[in-house]
Amino acid sequence: MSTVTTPDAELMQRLHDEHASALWSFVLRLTNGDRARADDITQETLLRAWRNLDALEPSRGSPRTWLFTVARRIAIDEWRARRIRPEFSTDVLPERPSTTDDTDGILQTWLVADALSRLSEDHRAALVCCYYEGRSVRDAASMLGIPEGTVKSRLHYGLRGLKLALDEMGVNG
Amino acid sequence: MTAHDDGGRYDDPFADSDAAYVLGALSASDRQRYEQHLRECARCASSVRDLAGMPGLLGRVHTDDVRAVPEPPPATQLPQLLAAVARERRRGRRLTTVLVGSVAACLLALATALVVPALTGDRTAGAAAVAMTAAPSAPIRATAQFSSSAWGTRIRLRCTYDGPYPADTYEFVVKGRDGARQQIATWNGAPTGTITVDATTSFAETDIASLLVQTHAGRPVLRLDR
Repeated sequence: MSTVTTPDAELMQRLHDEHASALWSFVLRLTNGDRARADDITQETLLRAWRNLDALEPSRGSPRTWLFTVARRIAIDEWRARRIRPEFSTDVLPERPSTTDDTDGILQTWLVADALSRLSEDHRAALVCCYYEGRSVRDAASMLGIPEGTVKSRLHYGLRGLKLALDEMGVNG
Repeated sequence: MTAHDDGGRYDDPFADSDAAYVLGALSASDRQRYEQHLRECARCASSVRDLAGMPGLLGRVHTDDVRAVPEPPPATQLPQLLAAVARERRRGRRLTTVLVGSVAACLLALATALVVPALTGDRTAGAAAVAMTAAPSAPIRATAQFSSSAWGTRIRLRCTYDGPYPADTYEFVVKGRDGARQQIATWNGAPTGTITVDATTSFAETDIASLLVQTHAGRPVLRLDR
């Protein structure tokens, strides 16, 4: 991209490059697939990040956690605002959308998914085989075409790496 | 992982088995051997404790989401963000924008907090009814009861006829302290009895100078000066 010239634009470009995909997947889940709302929430989150760059300092915790938390708050505020606005039909109980009543759970889940997506392909494949597909180390070894010891070692480093990433994001098992 | 831990790995053939064990991927015989080892090896026992919460966390993510290739955000997103950044920069003060934004949000929240109960709630209950003065020849008694709202004032007028009353059309007029005048209700004269008129005005209660009930022709019937 050569159109970007100002430092502000550059900062936004960097934020977008680094976080927009992960944020988009997460927010899309929060809005239950509503792309227009997800786009608004993602943009507002990145704008707030740009205005508060200090908050994204790695020394202050994981930037992803900050972004996901802010996005979640925006989604909830927006949902509440939409609930309040139709003042003239207060006798009609507002629908409670399933998209926001478990946003905290969604946030945690998404932090785990995000951490998983940042593992190396080998480590993730071992975890998928042995945990999500329920294979034994022996089955995984024959499926992946690697020795059993390598499967164990990939699980070991993969799970350790995941735990480190999640500890950093403030997610504890 | 520290050098010390790595050194330990070469001595301990079970050092890598912690994850496979907590994920339940060891065969029955391997598991037995490993559990036997855990009783003797504090370091492995401690790694297993470290990882004990991981299956629960992994379990929060659906298998499909682990395998899914993430969808890229809309292509329009970055250009829109860059335009927003340029707009905010042109306005200059980044901080001011944020503050103005929060103040506006607070005001909006406050306005909503005030308007919503006002629109739904009825606050006439506590207000006292004030007697109005009848014109000399008019066989009528009346009281007015005010209740304030964020949007103005509700006035409940109760008129009692003391005898036969001319079948005229009556107008309820409110005058503001600024001289403005609003007709806030009209009705037809009833034979006898009490009628209740609920009317509303955009004037705040303190801005109301007087109430007037008059005939359509303009003859005053009831009056209340405040």
